[in-house]
Amino acid sequence: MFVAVTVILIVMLLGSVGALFAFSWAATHQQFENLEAAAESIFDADEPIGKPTDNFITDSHES
Amino acid sequence: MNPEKDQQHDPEAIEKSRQQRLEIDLAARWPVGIFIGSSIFWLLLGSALAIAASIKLHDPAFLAENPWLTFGRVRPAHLNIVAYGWLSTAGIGIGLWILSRLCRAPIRDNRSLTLAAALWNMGNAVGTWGILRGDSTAVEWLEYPTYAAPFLLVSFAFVMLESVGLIRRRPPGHIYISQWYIMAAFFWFPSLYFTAHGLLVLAPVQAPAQPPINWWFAHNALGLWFTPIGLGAAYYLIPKIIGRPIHSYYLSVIGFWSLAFFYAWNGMHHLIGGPFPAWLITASVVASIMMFIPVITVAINHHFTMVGHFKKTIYSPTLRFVVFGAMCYTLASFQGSTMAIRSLNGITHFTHYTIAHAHLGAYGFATMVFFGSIYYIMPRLLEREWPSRFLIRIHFWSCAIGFIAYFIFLSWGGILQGIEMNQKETPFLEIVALTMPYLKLRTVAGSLMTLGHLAFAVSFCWMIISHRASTGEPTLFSKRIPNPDPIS
Amino acid sequence: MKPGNEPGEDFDTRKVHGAIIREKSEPSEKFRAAPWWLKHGIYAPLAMWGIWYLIVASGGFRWDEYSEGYFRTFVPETTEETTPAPVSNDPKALIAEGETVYTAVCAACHQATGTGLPGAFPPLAGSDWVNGTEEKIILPVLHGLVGEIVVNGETWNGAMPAQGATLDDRKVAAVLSYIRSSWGNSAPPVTPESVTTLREKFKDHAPWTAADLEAALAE
Repeated sequence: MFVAVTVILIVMLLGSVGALFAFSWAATHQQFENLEAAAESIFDADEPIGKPTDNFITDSHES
Repeated sequence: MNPEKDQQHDPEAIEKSRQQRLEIDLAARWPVGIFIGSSIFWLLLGSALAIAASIKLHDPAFLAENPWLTFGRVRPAHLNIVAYGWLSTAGIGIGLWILSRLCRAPIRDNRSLTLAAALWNMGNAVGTWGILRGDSTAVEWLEYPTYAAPFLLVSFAFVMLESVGLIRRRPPGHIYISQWYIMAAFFWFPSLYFTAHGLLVLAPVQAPAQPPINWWFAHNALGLWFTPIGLGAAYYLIPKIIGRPIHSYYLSVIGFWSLAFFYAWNGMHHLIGGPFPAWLITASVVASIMMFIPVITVAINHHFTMVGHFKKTIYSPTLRFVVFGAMCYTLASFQGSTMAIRSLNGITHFTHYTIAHAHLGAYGFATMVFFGSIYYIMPRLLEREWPSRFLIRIHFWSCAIGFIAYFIFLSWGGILQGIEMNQKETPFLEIVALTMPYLKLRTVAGSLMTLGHLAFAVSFCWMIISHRASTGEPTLFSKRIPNPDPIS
Repeated sequence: MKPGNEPGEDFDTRKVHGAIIREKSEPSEKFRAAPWWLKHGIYAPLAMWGIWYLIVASGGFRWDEYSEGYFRTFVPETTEETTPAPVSNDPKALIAEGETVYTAVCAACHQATGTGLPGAFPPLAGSDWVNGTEEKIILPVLHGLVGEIVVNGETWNGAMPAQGATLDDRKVAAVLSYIRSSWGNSAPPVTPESVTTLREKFKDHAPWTAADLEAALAE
């Protein structure tokens, strides 16, 4: 039984510490700043905001 | 200052970003393609086993002569195949592609990932054979025998290595919400699977502790493995397709962290009424209700992003599947939260209602979102379009109508079953008899869903085999594309 | 045109103005917070309910308490309400009552056939504990039993929760009498008075270990 408790405790600790680490990393690396730019980060020059993209890459090469 | 807006008119920037995207998509061709392609095979096999299991419930003599095809083996085989053969495999492929896109970095290690895909499929094949042969571990959601685990372990290690590599090569700046969801899923899944497999199969803990660990695993497989990949895909595809950023990025952050915080406590709600300490069950009930927080948050976000753009589901297959899936996510989670309330659980526990609910999440949400994602990804990998608009229509409508029928009939039968089971006087066999018509209707509905899967598989194979060059037009439902909206 | 900081660099005012004008054409808040109705109408009430429910419905946070204590679970009442309170101390009546208690409380683990579950729950049928001194079975039912024990030469290592809070002396005597006369067991029935005496003597005792039990019975 002690093995089980130890394993579960270790998994829990790793999980919690990992989560805390991820959150604090995000906080200190400006992940929670300028959220509007974050939302727009998936767009780029070729697939900009305002252009629906259910078409594909070589599309613009053909007329 | 928004550099993207200036670049809109800069042909050099446009060309550069197009080349980058092309490179990413082509680098993903083999690894992602194999994961997705194999997942479709498992989808078909899983559907066949599902129909067999469904028939057996109202017709127990069906296929009962062969020990390999008895219900006790077919049902777990179906469960494991759709979970680890279809959903997980597609999830890995979709997750890798989205990571690659968002990290702006092409997948580098083609060989290991192709090997990983082969190993993953072998693990599923060996596991399925093991279950049908009689070696099931008898632990729900973990029925693959131990000898299948090494294949899955090594395969996933390669996937993790590549994912970490992609993350490290990302450009400086924001990590988009989909990257968070997918990376988290890739860390959560192995921890869950291998901890649970260790504590329940390899070195089983004392009996009273097994069910909590079992259901910690099984429920988290849904919420910390399938859900984040599905949500990550929805958060990327919905804005990308309609060409508009997500409504409130702040809400997405809240949604992610509250999911991570609350979800893991939910599992014990499968054990309500059982011989377990009250505080453990209560904690799970509280966590299940608190799930309203991330779910409402995500629902608001997706809805307000889509508002004004729902017409685009008329022409875009991906958007249609993904929006259907996202709505089912909200419904399934709301339903799940209410099912965790002890008094309601007293009616629904041990009934078909629970099965219907499970399918609302795993099929209505995860499967439909993955279907939509595959419709978006494959043309970009292969530089070809889906060959037939008709097949896509069949796929969508068979699955949507089939699934809605499945859900309604099975839930209805399940509630009746639950109410009767709480009456002391009603004999058990009478309750079984009363569920029969609903089980038969479920078989019919499930067959309709399978028809959709067949259409999908045919579509997929046709696209791979055909050397037809692209028509230059995407395969959309309708030729009439609404004008792109001005930025709003 | 204004010169820039580096030699040879100058601004193109039209480009700068263009960018500014484009910026103005789209209203943007840098930080779109969660709507107030979401925070006050959903997040806060849920959090408050959650904390309250966690505290009141956790059975006192005891490891051996399955009933949440505040609300009843939706299970039709079994022995308490439906069985009329019997007056007779006749062993047969006691045993009959004991069977109802056994099915409701004990059968989940020890099984309806009293065989237990290999690797998990020890058998009661033909058990040396059941057929031995009555204290050895009364005390575990009252206060619980944990850790390694030896039953019929086999070792078991489990956790049996206490039932003393939910079963009164009469019910404890009834269920033990039933166990002692079922599945081949033939030990004398247990009287409610024996249970009362032991409950008084070991009031509020923690769950027993095999060692504690030996020590207590030796006195």
